[in-house]
Amino acid sequence: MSQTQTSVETGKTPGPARGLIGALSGAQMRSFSMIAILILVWLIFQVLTNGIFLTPRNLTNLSGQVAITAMLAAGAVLLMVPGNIDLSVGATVSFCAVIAAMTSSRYGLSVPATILVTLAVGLLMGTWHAFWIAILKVPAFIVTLASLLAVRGLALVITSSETMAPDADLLFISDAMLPGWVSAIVLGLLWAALTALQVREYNAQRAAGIAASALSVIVIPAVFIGILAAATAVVAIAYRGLPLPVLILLGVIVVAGAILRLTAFGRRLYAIGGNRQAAALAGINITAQTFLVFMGMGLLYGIAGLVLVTRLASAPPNAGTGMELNVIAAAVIGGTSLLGGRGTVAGAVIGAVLMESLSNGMGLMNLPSAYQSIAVGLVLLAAVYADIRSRGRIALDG
Amino acid sequence: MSVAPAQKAEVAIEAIDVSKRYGAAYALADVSVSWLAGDVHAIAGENGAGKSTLVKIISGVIGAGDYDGTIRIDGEPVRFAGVRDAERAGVFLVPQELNIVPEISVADYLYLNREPQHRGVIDLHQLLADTARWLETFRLPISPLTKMGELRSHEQQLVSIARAMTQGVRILILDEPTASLTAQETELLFERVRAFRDLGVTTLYISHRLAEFEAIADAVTVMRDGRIVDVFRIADEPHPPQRVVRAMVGRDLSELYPKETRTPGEVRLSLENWTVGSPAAKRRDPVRDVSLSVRAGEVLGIFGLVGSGSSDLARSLFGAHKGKVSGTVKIGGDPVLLRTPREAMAVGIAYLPSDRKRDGLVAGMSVAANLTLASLGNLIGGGMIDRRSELTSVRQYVDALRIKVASVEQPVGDLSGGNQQKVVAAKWLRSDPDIIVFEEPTRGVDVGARVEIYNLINDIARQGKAVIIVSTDLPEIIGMSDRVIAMRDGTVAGEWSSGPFREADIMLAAAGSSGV
Repeated sequence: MSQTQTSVETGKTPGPARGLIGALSGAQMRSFSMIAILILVWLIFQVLTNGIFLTPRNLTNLSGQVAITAMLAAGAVLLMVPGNIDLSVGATVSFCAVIAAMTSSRYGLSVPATILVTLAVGLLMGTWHAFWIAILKVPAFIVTLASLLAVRGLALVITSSETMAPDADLLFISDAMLPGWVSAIVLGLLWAALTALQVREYNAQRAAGIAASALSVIVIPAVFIGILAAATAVVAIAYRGLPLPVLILLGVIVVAGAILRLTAFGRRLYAIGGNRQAAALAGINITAQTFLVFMGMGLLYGIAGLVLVTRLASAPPNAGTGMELNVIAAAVIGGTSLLGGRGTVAGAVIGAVLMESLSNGMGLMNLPSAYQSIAVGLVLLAAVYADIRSRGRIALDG
Repeated sequence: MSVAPAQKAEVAIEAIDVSKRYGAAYALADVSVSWLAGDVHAIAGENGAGKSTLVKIISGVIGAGDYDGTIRIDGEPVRFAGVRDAERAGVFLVPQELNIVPEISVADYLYLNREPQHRGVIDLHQLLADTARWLETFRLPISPLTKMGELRSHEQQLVSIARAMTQGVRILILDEPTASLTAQETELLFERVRAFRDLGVTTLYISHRLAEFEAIADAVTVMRDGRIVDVFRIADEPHPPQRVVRAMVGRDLSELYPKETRTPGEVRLSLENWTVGSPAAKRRDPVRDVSLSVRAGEVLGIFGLVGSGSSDLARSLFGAHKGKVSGTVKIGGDPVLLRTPREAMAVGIAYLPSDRKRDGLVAGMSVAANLTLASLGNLIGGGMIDRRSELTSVRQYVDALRIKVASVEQPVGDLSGGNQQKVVAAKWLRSDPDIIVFEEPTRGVDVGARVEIYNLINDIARQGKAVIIVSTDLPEIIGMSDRVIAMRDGTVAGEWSSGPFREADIMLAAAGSSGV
């Protein structure tokens, strides 16, 4: 009976008069208000750190931190949308970092070989997860929790608990910079591609007789993303260029975002998370979909591991402790539902920027890391509460 | 009958002008009835007649304030806010789908939330002793430590009833208790119900099985379309099942069913010795040894009451049933496998589930995304969804089926039931199937939209597709089908290959009184 009541209540809460623009506008609203909050946080830190925070130097430093969290959060969105979770990130990424350090220094492999081996190890761990979760149907929570413990232990075993340094040749991954003007062109091209996509969407809606508003579909996203891209380009030109990790992050965002927004694969991920039963009855191959997203996540362990090991210039086997929670928090702050069915790559990336900004800014203020934990925890709570409020779903629990 | 109850004057339950609306539709319309204390009252009626709604109001599942009218228990007006209020007053509902907790023991379940305690700790000794005493009373040869999930269905039911007894039940409401029981288990249940009657308990007994009424009931109440249409005492009526059926179906089939005459083509799908197992252990197979076929351009109606296996049959045709399936299915004469929905789709079968919210729609996704979900493959250009083709195609279906939407990009969950059903239908039409299985095609759909869905079904048949309608709505089956099959206890209980179909014949076959 309680189900009947729930469904009746759901029936009574149709989206308000925003029928014209539909759910898209809701996601946009969230992104924009998060960017507004982000800018506010940055301005506050700018004042509190006496102008250090918004220097190109610090922003470049911040970007390195952001890159790792954000690329993993982008991957996490792909598996959280169909209702899964990955708790293993800290252990698996740092394991890949250890592998990169070992193969490049102890075994003296060339840079391309090191990269290949590291990515392969990441992919292998992702496939291991995929096998247990998709084929053997063990909940993702358990499988990745097991990896969190086991892989961390494995890292300690193969390193004999010692910290290893990667070969100096490998460090270019964190240190290389794309010159400012090239960065500006890359960012400009990305912006143009995104705007072209929005124009296509607008034309498609118009052609199907939908009263789409050019303002909401084309102009607002183009302006917002234009400002973001321009600001990034200005910082890149003013300092030494765009760091390679940021470029890698942009690549991950483009790929993950395109999969989720543009492909049938992505559409099916939303359907699985939104209503698993209905998705199965629509003939969607849930096993294959789940398998692929966890394999993709594995590849990201490798990429993030390479960035991490070169950024730290060493691979302590206990690096990245607690990283999985930061990644999940970033995704959730960005509007991804832990129950599945909702989430965007853009939101998760903004969430990651917000979280890393908090810890970077508080670090500049010389606050102990304990305070950073407190702040991040409270932000997570506030963000999810605001999200629930804005959806008006609270009544369902009553 | 074993006990001839003395005519008692007291009224145990009285409903006065009780009405309940869901949206614009009345589930109950000014129902007034009184039931005598100490009797077993059978309540009969088709699906949607209002039986469950009425007992939900009496048992507090539908709280005071959510319905109009007055309920009196033992002459006192009551306003139960919830189930707990009703249980405190001695009114217990044992629902058709039992709310058992499979992992806990019988003893823990029997005293859940009321555990005997000694200094803040559960008094295990007393708990087990009390449970053993109740199990003895119910003649259940099981240990108090057995897990609820390991019991057979009738044992679970008896334990649920025992739970009511431990809390001082005065009015016991059983909603289709025998739907999943065998004849032997049913007899065991009846024995206990008779014993409660001797203890002065008043029982309301909802059932589709008319043959049981003479065995268990003192009086029968028949409901139809949210109203009470007949009340009689078993002792006063020589042929109770016939009288119940007359009262249940006594309505004119209006212009609701736009039936067309069609000439069916060759056989599209045939089943031979089709058996569907239950996903749970120790349950009998929901569908046993069914053979049937459906032709191109034909509408086959399968009528079955709740628990008859017709729903399991429908799901098994789409590879969506959880239990084991055996038998042969042929599409156009060739044997095929239907183990998953994907396999069923590959041979051209589509299935519109009865529970749209649970099985048919992703409520949070847009109308367009839902409509193309089963046929995204033909929208891919360069690895991506071609939004222009998608939205254009969606527009065509929305126009053709007259789906009322503010925008095809609005969440499908915001639409009305009828429009949601049309989206599900459009989703499957877009995948261009040869065989479409409709399960309860008009459940939760208002009258106006019903006719449109019936017209759609006629269109589909005219295009030469084979249509199977599985429904518990008998007038719908009769009004729409070229051929009718009645199911009972998982088997085919009757088949009528040409009209006019008589409602009473089909109902008698499905309700199991054909021999009366």
